[in-house]
Amino acid sequence: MKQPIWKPFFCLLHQARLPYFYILLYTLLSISASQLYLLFPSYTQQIMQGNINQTMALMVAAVVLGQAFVTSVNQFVLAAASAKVTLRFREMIWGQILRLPVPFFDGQPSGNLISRITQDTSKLSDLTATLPGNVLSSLYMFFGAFGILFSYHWKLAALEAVMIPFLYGLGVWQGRIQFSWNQKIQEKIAGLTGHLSEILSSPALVKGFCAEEWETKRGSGWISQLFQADFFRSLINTLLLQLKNLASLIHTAAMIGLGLWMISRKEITIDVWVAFYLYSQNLLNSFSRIMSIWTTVKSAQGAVRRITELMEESTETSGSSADSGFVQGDISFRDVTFSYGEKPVLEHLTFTAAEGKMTALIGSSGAGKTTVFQLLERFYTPDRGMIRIGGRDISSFPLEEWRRMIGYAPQAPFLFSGTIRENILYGVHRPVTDQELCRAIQDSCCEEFISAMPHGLMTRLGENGSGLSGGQRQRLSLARLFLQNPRILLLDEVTANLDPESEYMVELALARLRKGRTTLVIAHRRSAVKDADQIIVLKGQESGPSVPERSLL
Amino acid sequence: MKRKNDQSWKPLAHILSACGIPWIWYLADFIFSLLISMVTVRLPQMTGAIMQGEIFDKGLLADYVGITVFSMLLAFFSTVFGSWISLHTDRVLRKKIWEHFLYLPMTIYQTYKPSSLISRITQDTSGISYGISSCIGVLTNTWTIFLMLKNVYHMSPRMVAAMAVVIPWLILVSVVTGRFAFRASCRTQERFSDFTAVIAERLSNIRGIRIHGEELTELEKGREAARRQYEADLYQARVNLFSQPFIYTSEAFLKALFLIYGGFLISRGELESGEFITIYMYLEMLPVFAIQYIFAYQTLKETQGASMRAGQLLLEPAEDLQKGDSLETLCQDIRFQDVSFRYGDRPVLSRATFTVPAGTTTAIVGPSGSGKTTVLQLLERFFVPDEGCILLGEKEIGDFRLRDWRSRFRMVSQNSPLLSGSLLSNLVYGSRQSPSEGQIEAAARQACSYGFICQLPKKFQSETGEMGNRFSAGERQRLALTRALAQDPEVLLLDEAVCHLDPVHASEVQDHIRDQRKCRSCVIVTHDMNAARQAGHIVVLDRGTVCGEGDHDTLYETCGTYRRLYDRQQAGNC
Repeated sequence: MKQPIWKPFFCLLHQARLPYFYILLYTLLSISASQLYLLFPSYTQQIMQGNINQTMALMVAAVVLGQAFVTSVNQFVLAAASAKVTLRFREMIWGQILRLPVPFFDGQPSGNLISRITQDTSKLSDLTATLPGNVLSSLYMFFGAFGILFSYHWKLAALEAVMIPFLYGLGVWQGRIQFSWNQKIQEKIAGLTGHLSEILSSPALVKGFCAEEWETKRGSGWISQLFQADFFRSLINTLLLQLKNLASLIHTAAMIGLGLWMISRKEITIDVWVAFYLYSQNLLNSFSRIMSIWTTVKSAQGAVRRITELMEESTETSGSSADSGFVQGDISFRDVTFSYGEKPVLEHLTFTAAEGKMTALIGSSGAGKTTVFQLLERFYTPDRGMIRIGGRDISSFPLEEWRRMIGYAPQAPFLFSGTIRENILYGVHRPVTDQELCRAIQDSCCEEFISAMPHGLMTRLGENGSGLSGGQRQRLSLARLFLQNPRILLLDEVTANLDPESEYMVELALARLRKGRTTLVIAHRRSAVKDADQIIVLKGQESGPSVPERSLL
Repeated sequence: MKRKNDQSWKPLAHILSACGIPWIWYLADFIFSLLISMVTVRLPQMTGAIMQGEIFDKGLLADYVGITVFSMLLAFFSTVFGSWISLHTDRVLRKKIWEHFLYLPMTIYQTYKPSSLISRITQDTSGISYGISSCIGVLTNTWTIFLMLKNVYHMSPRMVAAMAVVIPWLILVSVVTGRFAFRASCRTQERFSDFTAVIAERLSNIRGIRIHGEELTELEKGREAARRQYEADLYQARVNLFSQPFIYTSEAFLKALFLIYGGFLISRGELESGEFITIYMYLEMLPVFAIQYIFAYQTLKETQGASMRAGQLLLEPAEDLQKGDSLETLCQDIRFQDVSFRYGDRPVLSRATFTVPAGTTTAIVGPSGSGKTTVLQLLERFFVPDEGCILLGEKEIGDFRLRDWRSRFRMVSQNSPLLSGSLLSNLVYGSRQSPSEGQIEAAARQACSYGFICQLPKKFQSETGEMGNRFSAGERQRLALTRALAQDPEVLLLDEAVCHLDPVHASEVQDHIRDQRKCRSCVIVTHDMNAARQAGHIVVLDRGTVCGEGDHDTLYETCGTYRRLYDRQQAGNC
């Protein structure tokens, strides 16, 4: 299980161009901090021997201040390094997400991808920025302390060496228990938030159906469950912590007992014992740091797996030929079959949409009308059959150029937070003069409502373009198409759910837009297809395979 | 400035006093902690004594072991007890807030996003309980430090004098730098949520990005947001770089001072080595306390923020479902009399007067933004008119018991939600007497959902998924219609209730509803002028005012707006 994750992960690290200098600096500083901590107890010992003079005092002061200085600088270097690593990972993953094929997003709630890019990245950066420094410095401290202990008194040091494996076992065991409990809590929290968000986003349902009491009860149930899980976790954590304390108490007691026995037999002096005691504390500290590194690695493992898998997903392939050619001619579907996973949508679909003409697709919901558009956009590829334009397979065009040739107006227009101007120019890959912009706004019947806005074209829209009515959104997305000037138009129910007034305006704009372009229209209403040169009826799965019936008006 | 402060502390006071926080338990916890700190202070003393060679005093050794074990047990119980109290407070607050939220009027839900309400329940509650515990923690700490100083004073008054200078300095430095760090971390969090918002908006529109070939622009925008966060991170690191040395050097200074001065005292015989160790152990404890003081300020601020957000909502008055006159049946006309309603600053209805007759279908038509949906929401009493009144017969509808009133209505809208759970539990949702199997089946047939429900492997027991996401928009809408029909309301409110259905299903459902509803009221909001034409009564709205009321023939003659709407659509259809 582990093998396939870590190897690609290292390739990933290589790609990410880590801030090696900062990581190296952090490592060096951590080691020197360890060295300074190792110096300290021996000074204590000398002071306790009564060995106090000016040089001694200065040395102690220097060591103590040095510790403070090195620790502060080191934390800065660490924070900078980990911020840099996070940034690099985020840039890399964001780039990858934007290049992933559309089907990837189908089975993926967007919350998942958000946590990939926000949370998993910071876990990874914790791991990669701190790991070398922490491992090396802890090991340095650990073996350094051991070495010094042996130099002081080998019997006492040997006692330490016997105890370490027990502590190790204890640590591993604890880590496991905590890990599984944390997961349990996460599940409960996710359950609670999921439930609350569902209810809180449907207040009209709860109120309209007088379900307040029932929802109070259900919510309380989740809250109590979370309480129980939380309490058990804290109980277990406390127990484990006390167990750890008990272990270190036994350790101290053993040290004291043995030490005193030796002092009474004059094997060592009290100051040696104190220094020894302090070093053994150092040893324990570095040991628990090593254990905590182990926990970090373990908890980052999930993030590593998820991110590596994401980065290994294959990205959208551009067309097979570099030659773009000229997109023209009739669009023809030949025997196209397509299914989403298990669910068949199109079976042996064959039709031709003539160049420069308007073709309407009608059919009941679920008949695969929108799928036809998605196949034309090359979001998906047909399972069988071929889509051609002017006799040439559409997949042979470079993807980017192909999509620029197509103007797609979906039922719910894609608008973004930003000014109206930015939204109109979205997807227009060329400089646009003010006249052109004005023209497009007039042609799409947007002039009236834009000039009524407080800041006209510079009015800012909210998230996902909120602040406009359905008809206004639709017309704005048409203004975009006028500027984009595509050869092929795909219009997916652009007038559905508009009031007759807005519908009329949008129809007006559409009539202008359609001129001279190959147009495919999906519509429910007769009004929207009345100008079509050709109508294709798609039959859904309920009434057998979708066989197109052709009828010319 | 003063008023602002009043505002921010009032919600906290409300939460602390009126939400059932278990203060008795907190008091017990506090007393318990005071006892523990006495034992904590005793331990280093005994260690010191042992180190001094009093090991051969059997009593002392027994005491030492006893007290150590005792203190561990105490620590265990106190931690478990403390966490129980905190979690219990969370639970109490969560239930309280959740219940209050459910009864809040609709206007609140228009102002706050669901995600922000959720964090009121999940995060702010723990913020508050954490704040209370850390207040208690600070009090106990101060007590412990006092006990320590007292002990040190007994051993060496001079040492106390030396430490008395350094400890306040340590606390001062911690608090001041803590403030800076707090500000920096606020900035980081802000940037982080900006970054998340940018990413989330783009991820939910990934197809739009592809269609427009704007991958490069979006790549840059995402990177820009990530970079802004990175800058905030670096800023925070820089603040720490300058603030931490203060804390560390103060600590280090304290230690150095103690070692040198202590060593000097020992060499002069004024301090014994056992006492030296005791004091040293006390010093080792100090940084832990200092950290708690640093965070105390931060925690207090956060608690205040958390309680302000949650408390403000708790102070909002909730709806009382039980108050008012009981309502037997609705079978009277409902009349809107000069009703005006504003939505924030935006006027939606102005002086609207019209009738919703009982026992027939009323259609409300008009261009978008003319206030059609608001009429339905006023009927359901989700909102209260700003001016004018809505009458049932002679009585204002606000006088009736809210629960009685709402249970007479069932609404289906453009996006009526389904909840996760079984289909059946969704269909009987909120009904006081669960509809029988026959009723549900009949309703499913009327709403054209029976066919696809029967094709599901588990039929009515199938799971709907989160927000009903296992069904398509059209299926969800048919299920919402089934739910409303199965519960057999006196008035059916349909707001574009067939907009996700294809024409065949849409007209089928509309026919069914018309046939079944002969004896009962139905109010529909629609853009489909043919559906409106078949209604017994039509109300035409334009920009919030009523510009016509009556049946199709009268309106076509007398109402310009109606004629224009009707003709436009007919022209489109021929």
